[in-house]
Amino acid sequence: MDQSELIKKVLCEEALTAEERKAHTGNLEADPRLARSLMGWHRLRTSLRNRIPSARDFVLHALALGGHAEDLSDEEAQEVSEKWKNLDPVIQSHPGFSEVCTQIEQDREDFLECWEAEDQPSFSGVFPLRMPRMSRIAAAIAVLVVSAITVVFLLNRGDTTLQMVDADPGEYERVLLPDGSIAHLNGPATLQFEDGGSFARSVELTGNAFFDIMHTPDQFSVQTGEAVARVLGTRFGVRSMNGLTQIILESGRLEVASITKTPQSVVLVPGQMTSVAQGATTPSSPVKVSIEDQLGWTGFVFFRETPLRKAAVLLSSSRNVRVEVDPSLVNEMVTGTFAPDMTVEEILDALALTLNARVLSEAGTYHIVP
Amino acid sequence: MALSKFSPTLVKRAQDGDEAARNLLLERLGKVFKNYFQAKIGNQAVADDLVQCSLLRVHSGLAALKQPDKFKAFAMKAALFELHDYYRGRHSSKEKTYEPQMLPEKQNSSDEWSGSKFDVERALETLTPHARRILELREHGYKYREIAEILETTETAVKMQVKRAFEKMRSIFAD
Repeated sequence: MDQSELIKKVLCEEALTAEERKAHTGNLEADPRLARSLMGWHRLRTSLRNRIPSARDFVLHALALGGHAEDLSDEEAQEVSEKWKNLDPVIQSHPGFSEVCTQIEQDREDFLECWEAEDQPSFSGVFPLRMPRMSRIAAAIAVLVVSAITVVFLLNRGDTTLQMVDADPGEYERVLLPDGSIAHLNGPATLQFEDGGSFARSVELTGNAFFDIMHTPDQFSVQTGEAVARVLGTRFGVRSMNGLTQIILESGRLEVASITKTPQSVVLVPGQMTSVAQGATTPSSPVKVSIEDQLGWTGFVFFRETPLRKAAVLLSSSRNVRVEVDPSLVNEMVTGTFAPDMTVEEILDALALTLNARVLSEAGTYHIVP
Repeated sequence: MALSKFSPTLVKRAQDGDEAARNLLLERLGKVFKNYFQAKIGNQAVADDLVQCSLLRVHSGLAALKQPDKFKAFAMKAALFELHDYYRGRHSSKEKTYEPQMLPEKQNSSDEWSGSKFDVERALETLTPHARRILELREHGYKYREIAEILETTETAVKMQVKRAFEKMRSIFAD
Protein backbone atom coordinates (compact mmCIF):
# COMPACT_ATOMS: atom_id res chain seq x y z
CA MET A 1 0.00 0.00 0.00
CA ASP A 2 1.16 3.52 -0.76
CA GLN A 3 2.60 5.00 2.44
CA SER A 4 0.99 8.41 2.10
CA GLU A 5 -2.36 6.73 1.48
CA LEU A 6 -1.89 4.60 4.56
CA ILE A 7 -1.07 7.57 6.75
CA LYS A 8 -4.04 9.44 5.35
CA LYS A 9 -6.31 6.56 6.29
CA VAL A 10 -4.82 6.30 9.74
CA LEU A 11 -5.25 10.01 10.36
CA CYS A 12 -8.74 10.39 8.99
CA GLU A 13 -10.46 7.07 9.46
CA GLU A 14 -13.76 8.67 10.34
CA ALA A 15 -13.82 10.27 6.88
CA LEU A 16 -13.61 6.95 5.00
CA THR A 17 -16.64 5.81 3.10
CA ALA A 18 -17.98 2.31 3.60
CA GLU A 19 -16.42 1.23 0.31
CA GLU A 20 -13.04 2.70 1.17
CA ARG A 21 -13.15 0.98 4.53
CA LYS A 22 -13.98 -2.35 2.94
CA ALA A 23 -11.24 -2.00 0.35
CA HIS A 24 -8.75 -1.02 3.00
CA THR A 25 -9.60 -4.03 5.14
CA GLY A 26 -9.16 -6.21 2.08
CA ASN A 27 -5.64 -4.84 1.59
CA LEU A 28 -4.66 -6.13 4.99
CA GLU A 29 -4.93 -9.73 3.87
CA ALA A 30 -2.10 -9.10 1.42
CA ASP A 31 0.12 -7.44 4.00
CA PRO A 32 0.31 -9.29 7.37
CA ARG A 33 2.86 -6.86 8.83
CA LEU A 34 0.59 -3.94 8.07
CA ALA A 35 -2.34 -5.80 9.57
CA ARG A 36 -0.36 -6.39 12.77
CA SER A 37 0.66 -2.73 12.90
CA LEU A 38 -2.84 -1.44 12.46
CA MET A 39 -4.28 -3.88 14.93
CA GLY A 40 -1.69 -2.85 17.51
CA TRP A 41 -2.37 0.79 16.80
CA HIS A 42 -6.06 0.24 17.38
CA ARG A 43 -5.46 -1.77 20.51
CA LEU A 44 -3.53 1.21 21.81
CA ARG A 45 -6.31 3.61 20.92
CA THR A 46 -8.98 1.36 22.36
CA SER A 47 -6.99 1.04 25.53
CA LEU A 48 -6.78 4.82 25.83
CA ARG A 49 -10.43 5.21 25.07
CA ASN A 50 -11.39 2.72 27.74
CA ARG A 51 -9.60 4.78 30.34
CA ILE A 52 -11.55 7.94 29.60
CA PRO A 53 -14.08 8.70 32.34
CA SER A 54 -17.72 9.04 31.37
CA ALA A 55 -18.76 12.51 30.24
CA ARG A 56 -20.66 12.98 33.48
CA ASP A 57 -17.71 11.94 35.68
CA PHE A 58 -15.35 14.05 33.62
CA VAL A 59 -17.49 17.18 33.87
CA LEU A 60 -18.20 16.86 37.58
CA HIS A 61 -14.58 16.09 38.37
CA ALA A 62 -13.33 18.99 36.27
CA LEU A 63 -15.74 21.40 37.97
CA ALA A 64 -14.59 20.30 41.40
CA LEU A 65 -10.96 20.36 40.33
CA GLY A 66 -11.36 23.84 38.91
CA GLY A 67 -12.72 25.23 42.17
CA HIS A 68 -16.36 25.31 41.11
CA ALA A 69 -17.75 23.02 43.77
CA GLU A 70 -20.62 25.48 44.20
CA ASP A 71 -21.92 24.27 40.84
CA LEU A 72 -22.42 20.78 42.22
CA SER A 73 -25.47 19.55 44.08
CA ASP A 74 -24.91 17.80 47.39
CA GLU A 75 -25.40 14.43 45.70
CA GLU A 76 -22.94 15.28 42.95
CA ALA A 77 -20.36 16.52 45.45
CA GLN A 78 -20.73 13.24 47.31
CA GLU A 79 -20.38 11.33 44.05
CA VAL A 80 -17.21 13.20 43.13
CA SER A 81 -15.79 12.63 46.57
CA GLU A 82 -16.39 8.89 46.37
CA LYS A 83 -14.84 8.57 42.92
CA TRP A 84 -11.96 10.95 43.48
CA LYS A 85 -9.54 8.32 44.73
CA ASN A 86 -9.88 6.27 41.54
CA LEU A 87 -10.52 8.98 39.01
CA ASP A 88 -7.99 11.64 39.89
CA PRO A 89 -4.88 9.47 39.39
CA VAL A 90 -6.19 8.41 35.97
CA ILE A 91 -6.70 12.02 34.92
CA GLN A 92 -3.44 13.25 36.35
CA SER A 93 -1.43 10.49 34.69
CA HIS A 94 -2.83 11.28 31.24
CA PRO A 95 -1.81 14.73 29.99
CA GLY A 96 -4.60 14.72 27.43
CA PHE A 97 -7.22 14.04 30.07
CA SER A 98 -5.90 16.87 32.20
CA GLU A 99 -6.21 19.06 29.15
CA VAL A 100 -9.86 17.98 28.79
CA CYS A 101 -10.46 19.16 32.37
CA THR A 102 -9.09 22.55 31.40
CA GLN A 103 -11.34 22.56 28.36
CA ILE A 104 -14.37 21.73 30.48
CA GLU A 105 -13.60 24.79 32.57
CA GLN A 106 -13.48 26.81 29.37
CA ASP A 107 -16.75 25.21 28.26
CA ARG A 108 -18.28 26.34 31.54
CA GLU A 109 -17.07 29.90 31.02
CA ASP A 110 -18.43 29.93 27.48
CA PHE A 111 -21.80 28.69 28.69
CA LEU A 112 -22.02 31.34 31.39
CA GLU A 113 -21.20 33.96 28.78
CA CYS A 114 -24.10 32.75 26.62
CA TRP A 115 -26.30 32.71 29.69
CA GLU A 116 -25.50 36.28 30.63
CA ALA A 117 -26.10 37.43 27.06
CA GLU A 118 -29.59 35.93 27.13
CA ASP A 119 -30.46 36.73 30.72
CA GLN A 120 -31.14 40.40 30.21
CA PRO A 121 -33.99 41.95 32.16
CA SER A 122 -36.84 41.89 29.68
CA PHE A 123 -40.14 40.06 29.73
CA SER A 124 -42.08 37.88 27.39
CA GLY A 125 -44.61 39.89 25.51
CA VAL A 126 -43.53 43.10 27.20
CA PHE A 127 -41.63 45.81 25.44
CA PRO A 128 -39.60 48.44 27.21
CA LEU A 129 -41.46 51.70 27.38
CA ARG A 130 -44.21 50.45 25.11
CA MET A 131 -46.54 53.38 24.94
CA PRO A 132 -50.30 53.53 24.67
CA ARG A 133 -51.72 53.55 21.17
CA MET A 134 -52.22 57.31 20.81
CA SER A 135 -48.74 57.96 22.12
CA ARG A 136 -47.35 55.63 19.50
CA ILE A 137 -49.03 57.62 16.76
CA ALA A 138 -47.42 60.71 18.17
CA ALA A 139 -44.16 58.87 18.34
CA ALA A 140 -44.36 58.05 14.66
CA ILE A 141 -44.59 61.74 13.94
CA ALA A 142 -41.81 62.84 16.23
CA VAL A 143 -39.49 59.91 16.76
CA LEU A 144 -36.47 62.00 17.61
CA VAL A 145 -38.28 64.03 20.22
CA VAL A 146 -39.70 60.96 21.90
CA SER A 147 -36.31 59.25 21.84
CA ALA A 148 -34.75 62.19 23.59
CA ILE A 149 -37.49 62.20 26.20
CA THR A 150 -37.06 58.47 26.70
CA VAL A 151 -33.36 58.81 27.31
CA VAL A 152 -33.89 61.58 29.84
CA PHE A 153 -36.70 59.61 31.41
CA LEU A 154 -34.56 56.50 31.80
CA LEU A 155 -31.59 58.42 33.08
CA ASN A 156 -33.67 60.13 35.69
CA ARG A 157 -34.90 56.83 36.95
CA GLY A 158 -31.46 55.42 37.58
CA ASP A 159 -31.43 51.64 37.08
CA THR A 160 -35.17 51.21 36.70
CA THR A 161 -37.04 50.94 33.43
CA LEU A 162 -40.69 51.57 32.88
CA GLN A 163 -42.38 48.57 31.29
CA MET A 164 -45.76 48.91 29.63
CA VAL A 165 -47.85 46.33 27.87
CA ASP A 166 -51.26 46.82 26.40
CA ALA A 167 -53.92 44.59 24.95
CA ASP A 168 -56.39 45.74 22.32
CA PRO A 169 -60.10 45.23 22.85
CA GLY A 170 -60.83 41.53 22.67
CA GLU A 171 -57.14 40.61 22.87
CA TYR A 172 -55.60 38.44 25.56
CA GLU A 173 -52.05 39.03 26.77
CA ARG A 174 -50.27 36.97 29.39
CA VAL A 175 -47.60 38.95 31.23
CA LEU A 176 -45.06 37.25 33.42
CA LEU A 177 -43.95 39.75 36.05
CA PRO A 178 -40.41 39.82 37.41
CA ASP A 179 -41.39 38.08 40.66
CA GLY A 180 -43.12 35.21 38.88
CA SER A 181 -46.63 36.60 39.31
CA ILE A 182 -48.79 36.58 36.21
CA ALA A 183 -51.14 39.24 34.86
CA HIS A 184 -53.70 38.06 32.32
CA LEU A 185 -54.77 41.14 30.39
CA ASN A 186 -58.14 41.12 28.67
CA GLY A 187 -58.18 44.04 26.32
CA PRO A 188 -58.69 46.83 26.46
CA ALA A 189 -56.02 46.93 29.14
CA THR A 190 -52.69 48.56 29.88
CA LEU A 191 -50.32 47.34 32.54
CA GLN A 192 -47.38 49.39 33.71
CA PHE A 193 -44.60 48.59 36.15
CA GLU A 194 -41.01 49.40 36.86
CA ASP A 195 -38.25 46.86 36.82
CA GLY A 196 -34.51 46.81 36.87
CA GLY A 197 -32.99 46.67 40.28
CA SER A 198 -35.44 44.94 42.56
CA PHE A 199 -39.03 44.69 41.42
CA ALA A 200 -41.17 46.55 43.95
CA ARG A 201 -44.15 44.20 43.43
CA SER A 202 -46.26 47.14 42.36
CA VAL A 203 -48.15 47.56 39.08
CA GLU A 204 -50.59 50.06 37.62
CA LEU A 205 -53.56 48.95 35.58
CA THR A 206 -56.06 50.55 33.26
CA GLY A 207 -58.69 48.17 31.91
CA ASN A 208 -59.29 44.51 32.67
CA ALA A 209 -56.90 41.98 34.12
CA PHE A 210 -56.85 38.87 36.20
CA PHE A 211 -53.89 38.50 38.55
CA ASP A 212 -52.23 35.35 39.80
CA ILE A 213 -49.88 36.64 42.47
CA MET A 214 -46.89 34.65 43.65
CA HIS A 215 -46.94 34.41 47.42
CA THR A 216 -43.92 36.03 49.08
CA PRO A 217 -43.42 37.87 52.37
CA ASP A 218 -43.60 41.16 50.46
CA GLN A 219 -46.87 42.79 49.64
CA PHE A 220 -47.98 43.05 46.01
CA SER A 221 -50.10 46.01 44.95
CA VAL A 222 -52.25 46.76 41.92
CA GLN A 223 -53.21 50.39 41.52
CA THR A 224 -55.91 51.75 39.25
CA GLY A 225 -57.21 55.30 38.85
CA GLU A 226 -59.47 54.81 41.83
CA ALA A 227 -58.21 52.01 44.04
CA VAL A 228 -55.28 50.00 45.23
CA ALA A 229 -55.42 46.28 46.00
CA ARG A 230 -52.78 44.87 48.30
CA VAL A 231 -52.05 41.19 48.69
CA LEU A 232 -49.37 38.70 49.63
CA GLY A 233 -50.39 35.94 47.24
CA THR A 234 -53.75 35.37 45.64
CA ARG A 235 -55.84 35.37 42.47
CA PHE A 236 -58.22 38.16 41.65
CA GLY A 237 -59.75 40.10 38.80
CA VAL A 238 -59.65 43.88 38.33
CA ARG A 239 -61.79 45.94 35.96
CA SER A 240 -60.87 49.58 35.76
CA MET A 241 -62.84 51.67 33.31
CA ASN A 242 -64.60 55.01 33.13
CA GLY A 243 -63.82 56.09 36.68
CA LEU A 244 -64.89 52.86 38.36
CA THR A 245 -62.75 49.98 39.58
CA GLN A 246 -64.33 46.62 40.35
CA ILE A 247 -62.33 43.92 42.12
CA ILE A 248 -63.36 40.28 42.57
CA LEU A 249 -61.36 37.83 44.66
CA GLU A 250 -61.10 34.22 43.54
CA SER A 251 -58.76 32.88 46.21
CA GLY A 252 -56.64 34.10 49.13
CA ARG A 253 -57.19 37.36 50.99
CA LEU A 254 -57.21 40.85 49.54
CA GLU A 255 -57.19 44.35 50.96
CA VAL A 256 -58.71 47.07 48.77
CA ALA A 257 -58.38 50.78 49.49
CA SER A 258 -59.29 53.98 47.72
CA ILE A 259 -56.46 56.25 46.62
CA THR A 260 -57.84 59.45 48.09
CA LYS A 261 -56.00 61.46 50.73
CA THR A 262 -57.94 59.73 53.47
CA PRO A 263 -58.24 56.20 52.12
CA GLN A 264 -60.46 53.61 53.71
CA SER A 265 -60.08 49.92 53.02
CA VAL A 266 -62.08 46.73 53.00
CA VAL A 267 -60.93 43.13 53.06
CA LEU A 268 -62.25 40.60 50.60
CA VAL A 269 -62.54 36.87 51.07
CA PRO A 270 -62.88 34.46 48.14
CA GLY A 271 -66.01 34.97 46.10
CA GLN A 272 -66.50 38.59 47.19
CA MET A 273 -66.53 41.74 45.09
CA THR A 274 -66.05 45.42 45.90
CA SER A 275 -65.90 48.54 43.76
CA VAL A 276 -64.38 51.99 44.11
CA ALA A 277 -65.71 55.02 42.27
CA GLN A 278 -63.50 57.95 41.33
CA GLY A 279 -63.10 60.28 44.32
CA ALA A 280 -64.74 57.89 46.76
CA THR A 281 -62.94 57.49 50.06
CA THR A 282 -64.35 54.07 50.85
CA PRO A 283 -64.73 50.99 48.70
CA SER A 284 -68.20 49.54 48.56
CA SER A 285 -69.06 46.89 51.13
CA PRO A 286 -67.94 43.48 49.89
CA VAL A 287 -70.73 41.40 48.43
CA LYS A 288 -70.74 37.74 47.56
CA VAL A 289 -70.88 37.07 43.84
CA SER A 290 -70.72 34.10 41.51
CA ILE A 291 -67.12 33.68 40.46
CA GLU A 292 -68.22 31.74 37.41
CA ASP A 293 -70.37 34.62 36.17
CA GLN A 294 -68.50 37.66 37.42
CA LEU A 295 -65.03 36.61 36.26
CA GLY A 296 -66.09 35.27 32.89
CA TRP A 297 -64.64 38.36 31.21
CA THR A 298 -61.12 37.27 32.23
CA GLY A 299 -61.12 34.51 29.65
CA PHE A 300 -60.63 32.02 32.48
CA VAL A 301 -63.33 29.45 33.00
CA PHE A 302 -64.19 29.01 36.68
CA PHE A 303 -66.25 26.16 38.06
CA ARG A 304 -66.96 26.18 41.79
CA GLU A 305 -69.20 23.29 42.75
CA THR A 306 -70.91 24.13 39.50
CA PRO A 307 -73.60 21.80 38.12
CA LEU A 308 -72.37 20.32 34.85
CA ARG A 309 -75.42 21.75 33.11
CA LYS A 310 -74.27 25.29 34.00
CA ALA A 311 -70.62 24.43 33.33
CA ALA A 312 -71.58 23.48 29.77
CA VAL A 313 -73.35 26.80 29.30
CA LEU A 314 -70.38 28.77 30.68
CA LEU A 315 -67.95 26.83 28.53
CA SER A 316 -70.10 27.24 25.43
CA SER A 317 -70.20 30.97 26.02
CA SER A 318 -66.51 31.32 26.85
CA ARG A 319 -65.16 29.30 23.94
CA ASN A 320 -67.93 29.97 21.44
CA VAL A 321 -68.75 26.29 20.94
CA ARG A 322 -71.77 24.10 21.62
CA VAL A 323 -71.49 21.70 24.55
CA GLU A 324 -74.30 19.30 25.49
CA VAL A 325 -74.54 17.10 28.55
CA ASP A 326 -76.20 13.71 28.88
CA PRO A 327 -79.28 14.02 31.15
CA SER A 328 -77.77 11.56 33.62
CA LEU A 329 -74.85 13.94 34.24
CA VAL A 330 -76.45 17.39 34.35
CA ASN A 331 -76.49 17.64 38.14
CA GLU A 332 -72.93 16.42 38.66
CA MET A 333 -70.86 19.11 40.42
CA VAL A 334 -67.51 20.20 38.99
CA THR A 335 -64.78 22.48 40.32
CA GLY A 336 -61.79 23.82 38.45
CA THR A 337 -60.04 26.84 36.95
CA PHE A 338 -59.00 26.82 33.31
CA ALA A 339 -56.68 29.40 31.81
CA PRO A 340 -57.56 31.33 28.64
CA ASP A 341 -54.97 29.45 26.60
CA MET A 342 -56.54 26.05 27.34
CA THR A 343 -58.53 24.65 24.44
CA VAL A 344 -62.11 23.51 24.83
CA GLU A 345 -60.96 19.94 24.19
CA GLU A 346 -58.48 20.14 27.06
CA ILE A 347 -61.12 21.48 29.41
CA LEU A 348 -63.68 18.88 28.39
CA ASP A 349 -61.15 16.09 28.74
CA ALA A 350 -60.36 17.29 32.26
CA LEU A 351 -64.04 17.37 33.18
CA ALA A 352 -64.65 13.96 31.65
CA LEU A 353 -61.74 12.52 33.58
CA THR A 354 -63.16 13.86 36.84
CA LEU A 355 -66.62 12.43 36.12
CA ASN A 356 -65.41 9.20 34.58
CA ALA A 357 -67.30 10.26 31.48
CA ARG A 358 -66.47 10.55 27.77
CA VAL A 359 -66.48 13.41 25.30
CA LEU A 360 -67.85 12.87 21.82
CA SER A 361 -67.61 15.38 19.03
CA GLU A 362 -70.19 15.43 16.30
CA ALA A 363 -70.92 18.08 13.70
CA GLY A 364 -69.28 20.84 15.74
CA THR A 365 -71.04 19.90 18.96
CA TYR A 366 -69.36 18.32 21.97
CA HIS A 367 -71.34 15.76 23.97
CA ILE A 368 -70.41 14.73 27.51
CA VAL A 369 -71.77 11.23 27.99
CA PRO A 370 -71.34 8.49 30.64
CA MET B 1 -28.82 43.55 40.45
CA ALA B 2 -31.17 42.85 37.55
CA LEU B 3 -33.81 40.22 38.03
CA SER B 4 -33.06 37.00 36.19
CA LYS B 5 -35.22 35.60 33.42
CA PHE B 6 -34.59 32.33 35.16
CA SER B 7 -35.68 33.49 38.60
CA PRO B 8 -36.03 30.85 41.32
CA THR B 9 -39.71 31.73 41.44
CA LEU B 10 -40.18 30.83 37.79
CA VAL B 11 -38.17 27.65 38.26
CA LYS B 12 -40.25 26.74 41.30
CA ARG B 13 -43.45 27.32 39.37
CA ALA B 14 -42.20 25.05 36.62
CA GLN B 15 -41.26 22.41 39.16
CA ASP B 16 -44.70 22.65 40.75
CA GLY B 17 -46.39 21.73 37.49
CA ASP B 18 -47.20 25.14 36.03
CA GLU B 19 -46.99 24.17 32.40
CA ALA B 20 -46.86 27.76 31.15
CA ALA B 21 -43.94 28.50 33.47
CA ARG B 22 -42.16 25.35 32.36
CA ASN B 23 -42.65 26.20 28.71
CA LEU B 24 -41.39 29.72 29.26
CA LEU B 25 -38.38 28.47 31.18
CA LEU B 26 -37.45 25.94 28.52
CA GLU B 27 -38.05 28.44 25.73
CA ARG B 28 -35.63 30.87 27.32
CA LEU B 29 -33.14 28.16 28.10
CA GLY B 30 -33.39 26.89 24.53
CA LYS B 31 -32.01 30.21 23.31
CA VAL B 32 -29.02 29.92 25.63
CA PHE B 33 -28.37 26.35 24.52
CA LYS B 34 -28.75 27.27 20.86
CA ASN B 35 -26.22 30.08 21.04
CA TYR B 36 -23.88 27.94 23.08
CA PHE B 37 -23.87 24.86 20.86
CA GLN B 38 -23.72 26.85 17.66
CA ALA B 39 -20.63 28.59 18.95
CA LYS B 40 -19.10 25.32 20.14
CA ILE B 41 -19.95 22.99 17.28
CA GLY B 42 -20.76 25.17 14.30
CA ASN B 43 -22.77 22.47 12.53
CA GLN B 44 -26.39 23.60 12.69
CA ALA B 45 -27.97 20.14 12.65
CA VAL B 46 -25.68 18.80 15.36
CA ALA B 47 -26.18 21.93 17.45
CA ASP B 48 -29.96 21.53 17.15
CA ASP B 49 -29.70 17.92 18.30
CA LEU B 50 -27.61 18.93 21.29
CA VAL B 51 -30.09 21.68 22.17
CA GLN B 52 -32.94 19.16 22.17
CA CYS B 53 -30.99 16.58 24.17
CA SER B 54 -29.97 19.20 26.73
CA LEU B 55 -33.52 20.50 27.05
CA LEU B 56 -34.75 16.96 27.50
CA ARG B 57 -32.16 16.41 30.20
CA VAL B 58 -33.29 19.58 31.99
CA HIS B 59 -36.95 18.68 31.54
CA SER B 60 -36.37 15.22 33.00
CA GLY B 61 -34.27 16.36 35.91
CA LEU B 62 -36.09 19.55 36.85
CA ALA B 63 -38.31 17.97 39.48
CA ALA B 64 -35.26 16.62 41.30
CA LEU B 65 -33.52 20.02 41.45
CA LYS B 66 -33.60 20.81 45.14
CA GLN B 67 -32.42 24.41 44.95
CA PRO B 68 -34.20 26.46 42.26
CA ASP B 69 -31.60 29.20 42.70
CA LYS B 70 -29.03 26.78 41.29
CA PHE B 71 -30.83 26.43 38.00
CA LYS B 72 -28.00 28.10 36.08
CA ALA B 73 -25.47 25.53 37.27
CA PHE B 74 -28.01 22.77 36.66
CA ALA B 75 -28.52 23.90 33.06
CA MET B 76 -24.80 24.41 32.53
CA LYS B 77 -24.04 20.85 33.60
CA ALA B 78 -26.77 19.51 31.32
CA ALA B 79 -25.14 21.28 28.38
CA LEU B 80 -21.65 20.10 29.30
CA PHE B 81 -22.76 16.49 29.77
CA GLU B 82 -24.34 16.52 26.32
CA LEU B 83 -21.39 18.28 24.73
CA HIS B 84 -18.85 15.79 26.03
CA ASP B 85 -21.12 12.83 25.33
CA TYR B 86 -21.21 14.08 21.79
CA TYR B 87 -17.43 14.45 21.60
CA ARG B 88 -16.96 10.92 22.84
CA GLY B 89 -19.42 9.45 20.40
CA ARG B 90 -18.54 11.20 17.20
CA HIS B 91 -15.46 9.14 16.27
CA SER B 92 -16.07 5.82 17.92
CA SER B 93 -19.11 4.79 15.90
CA LYS B 94 -17.24 5.21 12.61
CA GLU B 95 -13.80 3.85 13.38
CA LYS B 96 -14.33 0.13 13.19
CA THR B 97 -12.05 -0.54 10.25
CA TYR B 98 -9.33 -2.46 12.00
CA GLU B 99 -11.16 -4.20 14.79
CA PRO B 100 -9.46 -7.56 15.42
CA GLN B 101 -12.51 -9.54 14.35
CA MET B 102 -12.31 -7.87 10.93
CA LEU B 103 -8.75 -8.94 10.33
CA PRO B 104 -7.83 -12.17 8.53
CA GLU B 105 -8.26 -15.15 10.83
CA LYS B 106 -4.81 -16.52 10.05
CA GLN B 107 -3.36 -13.44 11.69
CA ASN B 108 -5.54 -13.60 14.75
CA SER B 109 -4.79 -17.21 15.56
CA SER B 110 -1.13 -16.67 16.29
CA ASP B 111 -0.88 -12.98 16.80
CA GLU B 112 0.61 -11.96 20.08
CA TRP B 113 -1.40 -8.73 19.94
CA SER B 114 -4.64 -10.61 20.17
CA GLY B 115 -3.57 -12.06 23.52
CA SER B 116 -2.46 -10.55 26.79
CA LYS B 117 1.12 -10.02 25.67
CA PHE B 118 0.31 -6.63 24.23
CA ASP B 119 1.81 -4.08 26.60
CA VAL B 120 -0.02 -0.82 26.14
CA GLU B 121 1.94 0.92 28.84
CA ARG B 122 5.21 0.05 27.17
CA ALA B 123 3.91 1.31 23.87
CA LEU B 124 2.68 4.56 25.39
CA GLU B 125 5.98 5.18 27.07
CA THR B 126 7.66 5.38 23.71
CA LEU B 127 5.55 8.41 22.80
CA THR B 128 6.53 11.98 23.57
CA PRO B 129 4.28 13.73 26.13
CA HIS B 130 3.10 16.03 23.37
CA ALA B 131 2.12 13.15 21.05
CA ARG B 132 0.46 11.36 23.91
CA ARG B 133 -1.55 14.45 24.83
CA ILE B 134 -2.73 14.67 21.24
CA LEU B 135 -3.73 11.00 21.07
CA GLU B 136 -5.62 11.26 24.34
CA LEU B 137 -7.47 14.36 23.22
CA ARG B 138 -8.25 12.62 19.95
CA GLU B 139 -9.67 9.61 21.76
CA HIS B 140 -11.85 11.89 23.87
CA GLY B 141 -13.41 12.94 20.58
CA TYR B 142 -11.83 16.21 19.57
CA LYS B 143 -11.09 16.83 15.91
CA TYR B 144 -7.58 17.68 14.77
CA ARG B 145 -8.64 21.26 14.20
CA GLU B 146 -10.00 21.49 17.73
CA ILE B 147 -6.88 19.90 19.18
CA ALA B 148 -4.79 22.43 17.31
CA GLU B 149 -6.84 25.24 18.86
CA ILE B 150 -6.56 23.73 22.32
CA LEU B 151 -2.79 23.33 22.03
CA GLU B 152 -2.40 26.62 20.18
CA THR B 153 -0.72 25.09 17.17
CA THR B 154 -1.71 24.21 13.60
CA GLU B 155 -3.79 21.31 12.38
CA THR B 156 -0.89 20.22 10.17
CA ALA B 157 1.46 20.12 13.14
CA VAL B 158 -1.03 18.01 15.08
CA LYS B 159 -1.42 15.55 12.22
CA MET B 160 2.33 15.36 11.88
CA GLN B 161 2.61 14.34 15.51
CA VAL B 162 0.04 11.58 15.01
CA LYS B 163 1.82 10.39 11.91
CA ARG B 164 5.12 10.16 13.77
CA ALA B 165 3.46 8.38 16.65
CA PHE B 166 1.95 5.84 14.28
CA GLU B 167 5.26 5.23 12.55
CA LYS B 168 6.96 4.73 15.90
CA MET B 169 4.23 2.32 16.98
CA ARG B 170 4.40 0.57 13.63
CA SER B 171 8.00 -0.36 14.11
CA ILE B 172 7.10 -1.88 17.48
CA PHE B 173 3.91 -3.63 16.45
CA ALA B 174 5.17 -5.07 13.20
CA ASP B 175 8.19 -6.77 14.72
